[in-house]
Parts: sequence; C-alpha cells; structure tokens
Amino acid sequence: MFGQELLNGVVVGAVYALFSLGLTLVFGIHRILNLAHGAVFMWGALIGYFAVTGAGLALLPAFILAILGGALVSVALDLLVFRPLRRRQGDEFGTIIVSIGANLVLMHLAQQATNAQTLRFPFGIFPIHFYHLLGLRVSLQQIVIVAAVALLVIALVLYLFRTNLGTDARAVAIDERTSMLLGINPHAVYFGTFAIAGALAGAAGVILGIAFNSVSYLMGEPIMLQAFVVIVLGGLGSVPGALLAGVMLGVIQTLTTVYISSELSDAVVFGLLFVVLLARPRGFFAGLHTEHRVA
Amino acid sequence: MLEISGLTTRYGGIVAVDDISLSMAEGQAVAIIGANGAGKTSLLRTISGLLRPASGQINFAGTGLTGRPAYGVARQGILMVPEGRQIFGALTVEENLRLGQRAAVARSTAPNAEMNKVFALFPILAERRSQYAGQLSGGQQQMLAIGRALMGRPRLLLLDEPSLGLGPSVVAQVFAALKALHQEGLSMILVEQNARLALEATEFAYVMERGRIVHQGPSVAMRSDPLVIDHYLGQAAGG
Repeated sequence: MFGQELLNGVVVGAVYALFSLGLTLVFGIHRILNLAHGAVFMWGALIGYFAVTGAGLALLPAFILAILGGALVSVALDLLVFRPLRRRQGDEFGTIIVSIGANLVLMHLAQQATNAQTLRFPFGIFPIHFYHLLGLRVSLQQIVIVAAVALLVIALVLYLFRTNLGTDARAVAIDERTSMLLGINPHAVYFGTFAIAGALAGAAGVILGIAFNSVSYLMGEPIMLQAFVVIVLGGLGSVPGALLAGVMLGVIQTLTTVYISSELSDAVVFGLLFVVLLARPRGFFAGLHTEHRVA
Repeated sequence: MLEISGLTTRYGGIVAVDDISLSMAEGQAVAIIGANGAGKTSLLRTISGLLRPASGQINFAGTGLTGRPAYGVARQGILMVPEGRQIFGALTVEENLRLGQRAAVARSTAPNAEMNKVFALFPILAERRSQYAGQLSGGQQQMLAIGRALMGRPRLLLLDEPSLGLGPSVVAQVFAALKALHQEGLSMILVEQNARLALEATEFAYVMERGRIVHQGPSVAMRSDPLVIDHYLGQAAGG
C-alpha cells in the first residue's frame, strides 16, 4: 500500500537526515569533509549496544550515553586529527585524506571490540505497539523515531540561531578570519560543531541499530554514501536542505525497493542525484556560508 | 600605549614589513600612508594578530601581544576594521553588531549601551537593523564594519582603507564619524591610500615604502611637505 510505504520511507529518511546534518554542518561551517562521520555513527550504535547489554541500562539512558559518546568521538577526531593539520595550514584535500585514515582506525577498533560480529539488541528492547492512524499502521517505534529526530533538529536550530556560540558558528562559516578579529575564539566553535555533529550521528546510530536490529563495525559505510547524496542534493551546509533531501531519499529508496527492485534502488537514487544536479548544481538550498552580497 | 620595535613580517615569500618601529600615545590618531603594496595592510594585520611576525615586539598598554592569536589581540581591545569591510552579508545588521560585542564581553566591560551609541553615530544602521547586511550599500557596509568594531569597546581602532570604493559624500560621512570618535578620545591607526584624507584626520603620520618607514612627522607638517605632496598628495588628490 502506497501510503504505508511512504510513511516507512519518511521514517528512514528522517534518520538519514539526522546523520547527514552533522556532515553538512561540519562542512558548511569549517569546510571539512569528515569521511569518518560514518564511524562516529557506528560508534554511537556500539556504545548504545554495550550500554544495554553490558551495563544493563534501559533504552533511554543508553540512548543518551550514545549521544554523548558520539559527541566525544567526534570532538576527539577534531582535536587529534583535524586540529594538528589546521595548525600546519593543511588544505581541504589533506583533511579529506586524514579523515579516511581516522575512519579506518575507528572501524578497526570497533572490529576488535565486536570480534567482527553483527550484534543484535535483546529481543523486546523496544515495546512493539501498533496504532491505526488515517488507515495506516504506525508503530510506536516509528513515532518515537520521528519525535526524537524532530526534537534533535529543533535543538540544533535553537543552537544555531538562538545561542551566542551558534551565532559565532554562523560567523565563522562565512569568514573565520574576520570572526577572529572580533574576538571570537574559533577553537570553541570547532568544539561546538564537532560535538553537535557527533551527538546527532551517535543518536542516528542507535536509532538505526535498533530499527534494523543490527549493529556492526561496517554499518557506517553505506549510510555515508546516502549522506553524500543528501548533503549534495540539499546544498552543502544547508540545514533545511539536509532535512528535505534526507526525507526524500528515504522515501525514494523505500518506494523503489517496493515497486521496482531493491537492487535498483541505489541506481535510481544516484541517477536522481545526477538529474537534480544538472538542473540545480548547488542543490536545493544555499548553505550556511553563502553570502548575500550586493556589491 | 602602543610600542612596536623591530617588527618584521614575511608574507607570501617577501618581506612585507621590514624592521618597523613606531610608538603612539593614548588618544592619538596616527596615519600610515604609502603606495599600494608598501606593506601598510601587512603591518596592520601583524598588529591585529592575523599575521605572525618573524621578529620584533608589539607591546600594548604594558602587555606583550607578539605571537598572540587575532582573537586574543581583539580581546585586549585592539579592534580592526578590515579592508573591504568584511561584514557578514548573510547575517542581519543587528547580528553583525552583536558579534562585535564578543571582544568587550571577554574583557567583561558592559557592552549593552554600545549599540545605541553606534546607532547615534550611524542612524541608517538603526533603520536597517533587521535587514541582511549584504543588502546594504557599500557606504552603509563600511559604517556597519566600523560600528561592529566599536561594539567591542576598542581601546585602539585599526582602520584599513576605510575610503576604498566609496563615493565622495559617503567618504565625508565616514571620516566625520571617525573624527568625532577621535575627539571623544579614541586612539586609532588609519591606513589610507588617500593621503590627503588621512592627514586631515590624524595628528601624526608615517610614510611606508617597500615595507619600511621612510618618513614620519606631524600630519599638519606632512601636508605642506614638498616630498609628501609630490609623491602622495598629487596622486591621491582625486581619491
């Protein structure tokens, strides 16, 4: 049934959006394409898993722990990998390469921690309830996922547009040098951006880990590929763009899998990306760093 | 209040600032004039911490600034209005001004009254406070760039080519504001290609050529100095 598949697609897409937001934020504000973002996501899922199975925590505290863990891994990436490169005035290409290395290290650590096994959350970790809304079967899990994503996105928007650090971040996105001339410490902004990006990725990791009931050291790779499509379609650095493109991608993927074939879904998605870029080379929206200049 | 000694800065493979020493007292307005590429901007950028000097000392009100990052220099109260204005076009006028407060907040001086002062100085900014800064005209953007620096309660204001690209009436407006600020006791260093303007707005002037200070003296005397007239006032007269 079309409406049902549409709903499923929106839910998956919301999680894609959540993951992609961090990626597009770090790029939009700091021009860093962090290819280890998928590893942060994967570590969020792992931390959530170990919090439940190892420490015996309930789902909510485990979720919060995963968010904090994701933030921590992401900040550590900035401090240990990107910041030393910045200090030596490395270029954008250099940051891409070191992030590939960091991704491999984080994946290898996870491989060791999990013995390369695919882990599954204990059965019944999430209560199975279904509601009937407007003729659709909606699970409690789907409602919670969409609500959690919505809350996190609202928190992100409040951070960017209602806090001093968020305003500093938007200023640094436009011009880091001029921001420094005003007394803004860019290190604090880097810290904030990476922490938030990591928190969102960690949250997305647990959510997808539970939704598909599968956590493995490899789970960050496919979602990175999806996220590239999302951030390019949405416009690099754009929050509304990542949201819209994330949900769209989830819907298109789900509908393609159901009505055409699961093997073709990637081909359709990337084909669509190509077509959209022909029409709008900069994606749907302009990013955070785009200037509206008159002269 | 500002003491610079033996300052040398290399930039892009050349010696942009070559063994410069200068000093200025509190409340003074100092001009740095010279042709394009003489190193004026590099000197300002070294003072503001954007460029790291190869050697030499910068002391400000008893504090060593040499090698400090730009945000640390700003928080000491040295605020720069950069060349080309560099306002945040995608942010509103008010957001631009509020960002300017950061340096003052870091020194825990109350910045809240400052916005009204800026609006009194440049009333057009009050009218346009919720517009995107990128939609302002060039002159209004220059006023915003100055206002933004004032929000940080500068003890020393560095101005890099504030007249660049502006029409004569706007230039007059901007310089009237600068003179008013100076009369209230604000110290400033003014880098200008338009030497006539710079000498009218300041008490003391340095002439730079190929990274070095080649001439210095009171601005009034410079205006009638045949050497300065020949080299700088003649060309910049139309400016």
